[in-house]
Amino acid sequence: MKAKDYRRQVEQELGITDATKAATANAGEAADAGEAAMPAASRAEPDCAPLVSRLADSSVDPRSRLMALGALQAAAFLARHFDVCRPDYVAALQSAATAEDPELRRAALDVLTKLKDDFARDRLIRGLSNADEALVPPAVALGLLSADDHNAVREIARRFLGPEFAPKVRAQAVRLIGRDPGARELLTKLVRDKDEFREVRRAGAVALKNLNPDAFAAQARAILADASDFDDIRKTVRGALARSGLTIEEGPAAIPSPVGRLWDWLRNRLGGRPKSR
Amino acid sequence: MNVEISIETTDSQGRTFLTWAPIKASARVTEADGASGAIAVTLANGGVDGGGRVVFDTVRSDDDKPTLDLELPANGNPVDFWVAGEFGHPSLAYGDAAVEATADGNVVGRRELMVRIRKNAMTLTDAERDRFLHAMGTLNEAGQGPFKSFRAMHVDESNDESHNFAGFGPWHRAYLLDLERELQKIDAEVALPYWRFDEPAPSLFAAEFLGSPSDDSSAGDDIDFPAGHPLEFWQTNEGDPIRRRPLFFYDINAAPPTELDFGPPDGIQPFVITEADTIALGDVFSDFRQPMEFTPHGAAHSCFSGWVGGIDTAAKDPLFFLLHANVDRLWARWQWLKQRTKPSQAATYSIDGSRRDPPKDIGHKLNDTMWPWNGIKGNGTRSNPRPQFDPPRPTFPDSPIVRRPGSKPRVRDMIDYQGVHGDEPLGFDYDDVPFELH
Repeated sequence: MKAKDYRRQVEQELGITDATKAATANAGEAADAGEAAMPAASRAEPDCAPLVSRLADSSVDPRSRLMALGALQAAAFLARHFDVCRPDYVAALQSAATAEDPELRRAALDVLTKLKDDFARDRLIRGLSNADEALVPPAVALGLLSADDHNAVREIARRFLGPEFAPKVRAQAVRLIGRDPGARELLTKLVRDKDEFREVRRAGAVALKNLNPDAFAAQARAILADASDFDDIRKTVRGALARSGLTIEEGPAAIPSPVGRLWDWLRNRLGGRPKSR
Repeated sequence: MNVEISIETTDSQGRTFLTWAPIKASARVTEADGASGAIAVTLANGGVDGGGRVVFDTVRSDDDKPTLDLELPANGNPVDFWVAGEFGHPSLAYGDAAVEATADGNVVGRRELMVRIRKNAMTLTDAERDRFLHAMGTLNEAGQGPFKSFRAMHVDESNDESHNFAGFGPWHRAYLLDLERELQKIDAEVALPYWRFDEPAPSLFAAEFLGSPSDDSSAGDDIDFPAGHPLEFWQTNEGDPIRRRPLFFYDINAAPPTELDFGPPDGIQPFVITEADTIALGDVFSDFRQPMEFTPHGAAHSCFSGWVGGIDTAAKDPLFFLLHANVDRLWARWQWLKQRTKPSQAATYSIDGSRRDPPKDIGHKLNDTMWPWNGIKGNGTRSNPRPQFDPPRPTFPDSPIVRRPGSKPRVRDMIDYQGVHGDEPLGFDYDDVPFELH
């Protein structure tokens, strides 16, 4: 389609008339002549104060408080203009972080942790230490704390590696611990443990590749050479090696036995339960 | 008889890429088979059905002729012409478009190419999607690859380079082009797709594309990619995976809300406004830029919790680049519709934030170079307010097919990206923003 034909089509869709076009042309000429008005700042910048009040007000419907949070976050992208209301915004977020509504608490903590807010960090760590004080579920808390490289965060994550915790929680803990240069041995063990939950193995594989690409490549090749390992983890490490441009030497593909097929089916149905449990 | 077709936007491996902007080309007879004088040749689209298409002219124009008759000297002297991708007909893969030369009904020359265009992510074929994801995953390389420098340049400490002032559009346009050129070093067929955030885009958030978090919200907000997905190992320099969850008011099977209704007394606030409303924000740049930076731009970011919802963390999520490709497309579409492409005109570009804080204007004036590609580390003074850390990116990458914008791009270099006013195009285009002279 020729540009001029397309222009006519779009102008029709947008309701642009000859009068509109004339106004656009006049505005352009005025601007070029230095006659343009200052930008309409009041139109461009939202009035944050009412929104901050709404977010902070525990008597307001939580959905409305969440919408206020969304609108304020949008305004925060005009960061320099938003600076005047930032202290009140942070206070409102701290108030919302302890609200009764779980989604509001979570959204407020999400913003606060990205700001590396001490209040949010302390409350999340307290919640991981004492479930009665938890503002969000443990996997969520660990995920939110991942925005924070404070040492205390890594230490507390170690407590959630044990088998008594759900795989999603353990996977989050692995991600946090995986930043520690001393975690190589632990990550290697997780990656190679066929009895481990797949999301934990995968979190370990991702962390190991980030921490030590050579160590990951060695483990990945060993997994690919082991035809008895699970297809999903083989697929995971195969893709990672290929993107790194590394050669892949795979063992012969396992011929699935009827028992093996039944096991794979069960494993998938049960959400990744390992062989030995 | 044989006719050789040469097109300027051809890389060192002989691959040719076009956008909607006309590119200088030439044709010459290399085997005349005894003919003398002038040989009549017709150039036409020679691509496959459903693939990219090309158009021609003897001069640089937007006239988009489907065929072009040339008289080629038998002695091999070249004859110049102009060629462009035909608007509305981008390629799906390299070689599905071609310029074909015929003489007396016989094909005497052919050059295969690609009409490489940034597209709505919802319209990508599975192959296009997978190539883009593979290139992104490779660029990231589990947090060890060049992507970390892209993540490091969009942070709070560099905020005044990229936001709040007039250079918001040009800076992000350069940022996207830098990333796209890095992706094209991995796979030359990749063009950055965009997230058209005023329309439903469910497949963008499907597991095989940019993914979604677990339905079980107690599991956290990390994106759970299927085994083998190119972004499965995505990490940023803090070792974090992608974390993102839509807030309650955004159902990913629908478009984000255009407004948020708070009821009395606060009433209705605009949110992710439609494309039509975005175009209508203003007739001149100073009226358009700042409102659009708030909404739809800021609002689109704020549809989610997780990385993409804050300036300092947004670039940790690949969605950021598709979101900003749409912001850039909206600016490009505004430029086209309002005919605001000449950098020196105040209606096209003006330092509208200058009266607020003059030192912060540095990096936003038309002839200023842009950080980090200019290599300048700030020192906290009024004369050098650039970010006070080592620029995380080197100079702007060369393109194998165009020379612009150069190693240290200026604000003005990003404005007329198609070369409407005679400059060389920057080498990208959007599927719904044509090239039109004015």
